[in-house]
Amino acid sequence: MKKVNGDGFGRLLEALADEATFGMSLDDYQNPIPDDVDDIREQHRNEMMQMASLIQLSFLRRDEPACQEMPDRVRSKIMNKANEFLSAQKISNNVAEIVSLVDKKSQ
Amino acid sequence: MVPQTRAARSSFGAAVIYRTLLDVSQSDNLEFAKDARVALKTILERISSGEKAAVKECIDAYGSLIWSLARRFLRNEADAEDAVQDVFIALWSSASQYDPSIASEITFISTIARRRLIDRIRKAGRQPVTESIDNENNSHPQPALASRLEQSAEVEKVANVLDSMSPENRDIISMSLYEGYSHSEIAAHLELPLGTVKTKVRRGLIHIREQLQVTDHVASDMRG
Repeated sequence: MKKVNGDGFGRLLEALADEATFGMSLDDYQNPIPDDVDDIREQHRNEMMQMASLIQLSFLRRDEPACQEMPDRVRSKIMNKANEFLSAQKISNNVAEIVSLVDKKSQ
Repeated sequence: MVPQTRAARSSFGAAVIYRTLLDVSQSDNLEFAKDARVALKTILERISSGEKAAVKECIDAYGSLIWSLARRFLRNEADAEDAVQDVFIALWSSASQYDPSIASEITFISTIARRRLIDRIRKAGRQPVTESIDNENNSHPQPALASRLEQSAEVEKVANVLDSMSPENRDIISMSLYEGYSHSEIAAHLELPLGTVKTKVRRGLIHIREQLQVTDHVASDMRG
């Protein structure tokens, strides 16, 4: 098991733990992350954030008053956003299709 | 005949998939089997492959979860409303990044939600917590959400590790990761030095991470 303090990996974990608990963002971390662990930084960053989310869900499941149904007015707003998203996606797909047709014709 | 209420539609959907699987197991019809495999794709995979209906299913399936997380974290209802919209747009846009071999859909979704909620708090600047969700007039309890979380094996593993921690350390983790308090707010509330709180939060999180890795290694050894 890696030590928590006193080595580069430990410092990386501390920084990621701070970030996952929004103590500070990784970019603002005062104690520079050594280069030797920089290549695994994103992998561990994702793992730490994922674990923080699982902890959040663990507490939520035991907190029934906090488990609430999304109000209908919020749902309506999100449905509007969904329609905007789908329209934008359709335009993007159409553009991609036209570009592809043009490419084929030019060959 | 599709049920009218959202909760009933959700159960109805699960029953349809189950029925489909039963039918496939008794059928040699390959096309039908292919349809059933499509039905087994996660909502995010279906969004990623451009299925319009999946975008709306995503709202039905995860709306209450994201809303509950946002309300617990942000407290202010208007902020939560805006945040939930941001989270859904982020989810739909990043659906193609979801890999079911790395995490369950619910974990991926709550991780994106968490990132967005933290970004929001950082951008807005930290505001003191003034509102209790228990006093909210418009809340509609959703007990089905808690029981759904009870069924997640990943959540169960983390809950077991949390149970093994001392009550004080568990409370600090709860205040920091679940209730959205800053380190200095926790220090003030518990009358502890700020450095102690920071250390306890860091060590608690790293301890849980290590315990989960140990659990995974043991499970892997037992299988192997």
